[in-house]
Amino acid sequence: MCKLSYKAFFITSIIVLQWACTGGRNDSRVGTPITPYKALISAAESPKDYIDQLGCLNCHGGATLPSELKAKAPDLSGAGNRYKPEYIFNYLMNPTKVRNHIGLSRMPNFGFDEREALALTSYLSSKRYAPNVQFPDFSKNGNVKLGETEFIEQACATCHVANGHGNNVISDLSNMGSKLNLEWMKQFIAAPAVFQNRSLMPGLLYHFSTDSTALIPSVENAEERIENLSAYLLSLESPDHDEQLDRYETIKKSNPEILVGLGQKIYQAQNCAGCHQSNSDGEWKETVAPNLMTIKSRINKAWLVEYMKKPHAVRPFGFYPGSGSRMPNFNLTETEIDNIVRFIYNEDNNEKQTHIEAPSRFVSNKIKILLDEKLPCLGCHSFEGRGGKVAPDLSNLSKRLNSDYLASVVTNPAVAMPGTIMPKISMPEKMRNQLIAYLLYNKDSVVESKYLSLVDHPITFPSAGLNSESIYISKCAICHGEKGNANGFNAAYLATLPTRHADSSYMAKRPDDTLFDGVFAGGEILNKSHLMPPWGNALSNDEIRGLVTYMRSLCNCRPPSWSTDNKTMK
Amino acid sequence: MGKKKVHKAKTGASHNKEKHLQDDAPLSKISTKWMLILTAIALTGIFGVFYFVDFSKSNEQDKVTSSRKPFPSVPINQTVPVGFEDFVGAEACSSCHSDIYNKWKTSTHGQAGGSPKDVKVIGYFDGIPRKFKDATLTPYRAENGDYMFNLKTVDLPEQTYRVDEVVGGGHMIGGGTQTYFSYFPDGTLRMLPFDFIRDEKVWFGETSQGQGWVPITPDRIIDKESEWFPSRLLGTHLDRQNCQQCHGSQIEAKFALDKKKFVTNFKTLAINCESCHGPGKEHIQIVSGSDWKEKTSLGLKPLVTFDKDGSLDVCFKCHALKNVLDPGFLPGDDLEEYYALKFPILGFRNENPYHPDGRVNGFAYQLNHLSSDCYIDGSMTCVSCHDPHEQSYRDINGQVLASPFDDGQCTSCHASKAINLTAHSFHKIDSKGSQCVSCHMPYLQHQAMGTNLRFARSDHTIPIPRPAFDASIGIESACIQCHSDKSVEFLQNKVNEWYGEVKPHNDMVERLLKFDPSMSLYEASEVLLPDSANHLMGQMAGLSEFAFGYLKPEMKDIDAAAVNRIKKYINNADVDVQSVAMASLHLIQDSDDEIHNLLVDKLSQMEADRRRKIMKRWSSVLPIMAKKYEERGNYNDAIEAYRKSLEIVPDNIAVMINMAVAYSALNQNAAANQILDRAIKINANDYDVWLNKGNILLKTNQNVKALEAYKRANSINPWVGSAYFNIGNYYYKTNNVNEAIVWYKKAVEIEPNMALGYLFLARSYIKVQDFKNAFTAVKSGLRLDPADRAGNQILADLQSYFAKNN
Repeated sequence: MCKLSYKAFFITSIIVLQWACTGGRNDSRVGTPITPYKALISAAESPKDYIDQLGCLNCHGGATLPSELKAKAPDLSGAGNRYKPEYIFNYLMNPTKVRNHIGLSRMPNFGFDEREALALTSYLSSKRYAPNVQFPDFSKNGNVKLGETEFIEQACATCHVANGHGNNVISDLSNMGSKLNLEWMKQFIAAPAVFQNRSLMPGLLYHFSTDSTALIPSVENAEERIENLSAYLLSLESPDHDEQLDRYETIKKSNPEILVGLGQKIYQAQNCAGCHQSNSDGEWKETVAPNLMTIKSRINKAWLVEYMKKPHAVRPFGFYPGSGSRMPNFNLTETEIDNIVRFIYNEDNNEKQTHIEAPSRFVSNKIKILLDEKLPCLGCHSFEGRGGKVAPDLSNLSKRLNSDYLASVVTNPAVAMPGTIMPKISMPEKMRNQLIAYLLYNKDSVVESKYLSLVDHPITFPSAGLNSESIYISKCAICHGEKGNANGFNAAYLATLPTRHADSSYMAKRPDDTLFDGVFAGGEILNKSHLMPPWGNALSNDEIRGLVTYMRSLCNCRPPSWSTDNKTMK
Repeated sequence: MGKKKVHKAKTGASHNKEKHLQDDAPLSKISTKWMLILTAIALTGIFGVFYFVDFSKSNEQDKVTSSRKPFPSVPINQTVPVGFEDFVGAEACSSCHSDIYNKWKTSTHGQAGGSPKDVKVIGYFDGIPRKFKDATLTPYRAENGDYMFNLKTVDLPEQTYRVDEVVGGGHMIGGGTQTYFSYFPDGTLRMLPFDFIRDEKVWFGETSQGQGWVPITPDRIIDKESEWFPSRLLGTHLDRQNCQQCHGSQIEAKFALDKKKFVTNFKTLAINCESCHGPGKEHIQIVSGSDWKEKTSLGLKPLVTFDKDGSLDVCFKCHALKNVLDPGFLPGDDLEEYYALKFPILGFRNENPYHPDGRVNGFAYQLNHLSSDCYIDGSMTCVSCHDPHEQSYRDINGQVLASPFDDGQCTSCHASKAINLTAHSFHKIDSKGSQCVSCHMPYLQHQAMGTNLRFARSDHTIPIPRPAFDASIGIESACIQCHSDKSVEFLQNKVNEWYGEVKPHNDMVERLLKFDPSMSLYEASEVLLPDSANHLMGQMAGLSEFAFGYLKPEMKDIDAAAVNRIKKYINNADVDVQSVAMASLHLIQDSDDEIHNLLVDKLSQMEADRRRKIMKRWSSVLPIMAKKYEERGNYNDAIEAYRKSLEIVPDNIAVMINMAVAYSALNQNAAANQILDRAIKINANDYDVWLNKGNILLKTNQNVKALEAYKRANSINPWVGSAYFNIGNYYYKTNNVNEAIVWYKKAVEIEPNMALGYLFLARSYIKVQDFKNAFTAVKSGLRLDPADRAGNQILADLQSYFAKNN
């Protein structure tokens, strides 16, 4: 099946490849790589440049096309051929800047733990895309010494540095032996363009035949020179390579259950495809994160500045609940943050917000009890170390949120946050106002929430579809599980286990109308958990009916006979 | 509010039925204690064999012969009870909470009662006489505007009563009434048994002869069955019928020993803020400080945070029948310390105020909401539908609804039924039949009020209409209320046609329906005491059926499986159910060391508050059972049950008096005397004990000592008619008839409805040959108790005497 369809971009005039999807098989290539990339990267001048170079919009939306960045970050289609797994693993755990020609951009730190990094490594290592090009038979062992001379005397050192030789214009090759596989390196030097769309690296030793399938030497001894160069570069190992390899092997051995499939999910969850090209990773998602254009009216500037210095988990398991996406840490400089903030707030310090008076201790206490015992909020939101992990922590929201925005979220979430799953909770106005005041001012405890393990929690990608299954997946599955087994990622954080919709003996006792009412009016009315919110304000009757039918398909059971005669929903 | 008060004999505020003596032996009269169903007993014989039972001795023997652990003592309640002075009244709340205050002021609670100057009097005080067969009642306005009643009764001096307080405003949809209260010389505020009903616009009264509420008509006699002479007083008092603390706010009625009078305090006879929120004094103090915003507690609990049962209890302290465990409850006190809400269920089936499915049998308030699926399988509390401040209606989200009949009460949860209402209701949209409450919360006439006047309350068990079943238990189904021209069969067929199979009853209800008193003990235990159930009202009913139908003291050969079923119930989370189970086990097999120690251990493991609540209940279940044994003439079992009750709470004077009466019935007068002496040691100021002591002494011919005892009672509380009556009996017995006449006259002056008083007065007059006064007295006695054989004989004798001599 055709998943990829990148069009060629004639932006800087050096387009090399046109990848097209041809029935799932070979790519055809046209053109010959000759001209080096334009100027490398101009300095960022305007706030917009910062945003563009950092690639913010790749996840935060607003970009109509993948940015420049995508052409410059490594193409991961053949990551398994290219990288040593221990390198991927260690790099994911602790990314550092490799490339100097990608402007301000950098690989950010997603805070992966060992198991997450292992899963992703397994997946990336399984990616074995090979371009449909006839490479020379690079089977000889090169001469390291000759390779070093080659590196220093030939063009390499113009852009690269290794072992103290050359210029670090593009990247430092000093530790290449710990990073790359030999075979891949030889092929890359021969024909860089087939491994990376719009690569800056010129193919100096070979050129393509006219049908673009074969490589023709451009110089004498091309093959031998590549062997020598590669041998030299591969000999450059990082001093801690053995240590890294050991670490990786140990983790791998002790986590045999971590499989490629999970890695692929993490790859998708983190929207890796937002910055990296690849041939088979699912679609790039335009928005996996809040839209930057609307932040101004929602988020307080001072909080945002702090957040960008050290991002933490606002939503512990995905901007879309269950998707597991994270805001990674870019280690932004003050200048960068300053420019991003300027971009977001458009130089406009419009932080006007309605002053809401702080509640008395008594009211605070009351609302606290209501949150713990009556309201559904803590089903999704965490608070003082308890509660669900779907949505942001409720502590001290005046620091983060504009008070008017908070009020509008509580009053009518669908209007305040288009696309949110948060349902509107009806309550007396006085109680709502007290709740809003409490949320703004409670300062008792601010527990910094952490991202949830992507290994231990099932990742569920929300579906944009409007059918019952899609609604179930995006709204119900986070607690009830995709198949109704009460094992959604958030189930572990609820005091009461969610109803198992797959439990046929239990569900056979529940009339369809009861299921409908429970979805409509919430768990409490069925003497069940108050944390199951009422969806009646968020879903139409038809949608709820669809969910009831879907739940019946999960339990594969019929309601009690007395409930089915004449008087079920018509 | 619906006020009437048909209390079963077994509830705290009970009707006293007297057994009258038919021979001419001297009579004594024992007054009753609140928590027992003590029927006042007229002792029947002076002579008899008496045995002697020594309690302390038998207890000691138990201790010596076994490894039995002693029952723990009742833990002292460490909580300071709420005092009358802790309340501030609604006006104190109005300055800060004016929005709520204004809503409340016009609500039914806000207008539930008060001084006649402040509330709307709906009764016709028009000066028009209303005639009884033997009396004429004229409600009128005095020149100074006071609302008055004038009552002329045959043979009695004319009486006038001023209306000092008013209860009710004719608010209730299913029949609203108003009742009038007047202060009596003993300090009590008593209900005058002349009520006015809003819709029928008539004066009426209550009879307990099965007709319930009856308008005043010339064929009705005014007697004690019409609650004449007024005896029901405001406030909870142990010895009197009473309105508990519900028909007003913060009611306190105590007998003050120093003043020898009752003291009645209350803030208002409306239902005010503190009735639900508790005492406000501390709150006012805190919020008067400048730093109140920093205080976590403002002296009042936010009721909105209460859980389901906690929220219900706020309302159930009035909107439920309940047995009194201790008098003196005030809002803010722990309800469970003072009342047992499920205890009115105790007794035989026909005494249960609820049908097996929870619907009202006779009369009850809304505790049967606990039998509704909305409670059992849902979260419904009173405030799910009722706005607590203005008693308007609202939906589950607190959104205001237009009327008590608004579907939003139901459909804010049962949204599925609202999608296509007619598909569910089979009635035209917007028709009355299409309203949820028409079928599921129909107004049902409470049968104890009879059929003359409407007292219908909406059914809070929220049932499904089942015309055939409803008819089988004597309830008018919702269907027949509109379709009265249709037969039950027709309506049931219609339901079948429309709905097919309907939702089955709760398993516990099915069990109660299945139960048949002819079942063996084992069968009954299997049916009535299931291993698991989710229906506490039904479980209480099942336990009660079983305990009252099958159990008696020390059943050595009882089926072990049945005992095991009771054992499971001693772990029940509900304080009422658990205590009845423990009392039952104690009753039937306490002599088994293992069972005894199990009960002791169970008690010992409880936290002090729980243990106290359980022991209070436990000790009051056993006397209720004892009364049933007495009714069947089995005084030995009754005594054993009383004895066990005193094992749990050793200083309960009411139980001791009842036990003494039971001994006396067996002519075990020494034992009776002994137990009363024990009671006197505990409280020498309990006039009831002295009265009973006097009875035993008189019965055993210790006449002088008897007189001392009666006078002691009379000096403690000079407002008890039976004390005067009994002193009269002493003089009668000791042949001082003139003195007897003096005391009998005082007795009927204080209790003008004491038939025996008039009859013995008549007999005394005959002895001194004052036949004219004898004739008047015997007529008064027979007017109150026309069937009295001795009285009729006296009348006949007098008539023949007058015939001969005139």
